[in-house]
Amino acid sequence: MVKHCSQAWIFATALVLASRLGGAAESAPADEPTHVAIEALAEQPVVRAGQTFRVALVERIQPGWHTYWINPGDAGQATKLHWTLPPGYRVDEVQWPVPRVFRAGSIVSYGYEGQAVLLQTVHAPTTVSAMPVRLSVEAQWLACRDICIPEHGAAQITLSQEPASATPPTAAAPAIFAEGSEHLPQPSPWPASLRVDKSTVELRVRGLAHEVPAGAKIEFLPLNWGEIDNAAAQRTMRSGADLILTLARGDLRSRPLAQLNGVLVVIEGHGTSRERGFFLQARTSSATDKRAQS
Amino acid sequence: MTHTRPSINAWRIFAVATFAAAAWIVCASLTTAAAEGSARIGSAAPDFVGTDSNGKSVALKDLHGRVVVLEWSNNQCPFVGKHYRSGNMQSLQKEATGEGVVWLTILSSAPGEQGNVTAAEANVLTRSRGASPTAVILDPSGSIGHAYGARTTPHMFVIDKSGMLVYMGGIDDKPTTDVADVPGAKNYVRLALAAVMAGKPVQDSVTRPYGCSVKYQ
Repeated sequence: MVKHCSQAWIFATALVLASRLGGAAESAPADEPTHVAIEALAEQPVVRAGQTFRVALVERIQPGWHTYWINPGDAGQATKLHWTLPPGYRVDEVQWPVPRVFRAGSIVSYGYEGQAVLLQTVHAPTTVSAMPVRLSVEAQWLACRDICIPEHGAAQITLSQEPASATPPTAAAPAIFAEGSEHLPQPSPWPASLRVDKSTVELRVRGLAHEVPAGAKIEFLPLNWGEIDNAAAQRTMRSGADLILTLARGDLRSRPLAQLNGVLVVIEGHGTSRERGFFLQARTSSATDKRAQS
Repeated sequence: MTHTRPSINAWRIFAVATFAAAAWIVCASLTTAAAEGSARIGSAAPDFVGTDSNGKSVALKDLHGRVVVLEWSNNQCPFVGKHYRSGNMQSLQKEATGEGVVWLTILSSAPGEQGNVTAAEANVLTRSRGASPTAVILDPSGSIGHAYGARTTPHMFVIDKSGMLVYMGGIDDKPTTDVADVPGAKNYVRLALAAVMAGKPVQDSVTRPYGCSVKYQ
């Protein structure tokens, strides 16, 4: 019996080895280590009925590799998260942190290196039991260096539920959530408008010139594909209190452009630089729109 | 990337045997008339002269009167893999060339970069994948790629019989690496070709190209 078992073990090991070697030529085996490790965390260990709380999907990205923003830019693919939640629970869209700009010659993409914290808000149902609940997430991402590899993974969070309690919940993983919040773009305090012609988009941000020092680096990252040329130089000009960015139109240059949404990244200082991102929604006035279309 | 190494090694071994015969073809002389990324729908497609994997010169202006498809490729890119593993690209090539369309697969990966292959390797790839492009053009300098502003693999272009660019963008509307997404996708190239062959305007003439970045030098 022992002998048979050991023979079976050798045979099984040989089979596993053969399948691994055979599989290697075709595609990555399922257990191949990925270039990104993921972890899911909740902002609090206990959830009460009707409560809203945040969850984080943390991507720990190997040095030299990157993953992508919701608009990956000229190439790449945004990370996709699919949550499986207990009945009555729902989750909002990902709040994407301000991405970095990756340039490879004429190709520009937007994404993350090092560590990315993708925050989402979860809404608990108005009645919960006293049983712990499990929130599961399946993530798919494209890890790129000079080459790209599609990868995926799964993570879970287990939370206690309290149907009713007077004690405030304790915070969990505060550092991760603080980091996630810090990198979120803020709504722009400055109104913005557009002037569009056949080849350029003039983005005027009112009052911004007074808010940032002369040496600050300012870059507009579009949320949608095709509206601006990602690789083209962005010219920045001060006009009184306003700051005007001149952008080249993208592949959709022959179509009307009435609104441009994106994140304005402002980087101040050198060495210990401060980077801030602001959500901008710029529209053309009807007069400038008519002139652009004529 | 260890999982793709064995296939790279296989190509390398093959390459050594045929290198002497093929080397001169790789040093293709190319001329491009257009400035970088000047491809515009409704304008003349940027002219180019390239050398194919059989050492033949291919000039766009000689293809006047034919509908031409340009397909940017990199055989190790997972987005390209999706469309070849599923047979999607091959069936589109067969359909198109069966109707007299000239299909040019263009490889703009620079030497040493992913997807850069010798002429002989390109021919082996065509055979092993059951592909049927009219020709595979080697563009290691990236000049044809830059002339069209090709950014991804795949990145697709359709040129009508008068030499006008009528489509640029993705192969379809499902920007993933998942083979399961092929059957339900809206294939923009098939639709563009159907319109062009019927003498009708292309509805979706500009779409988002998706894939790996073109590995330019």
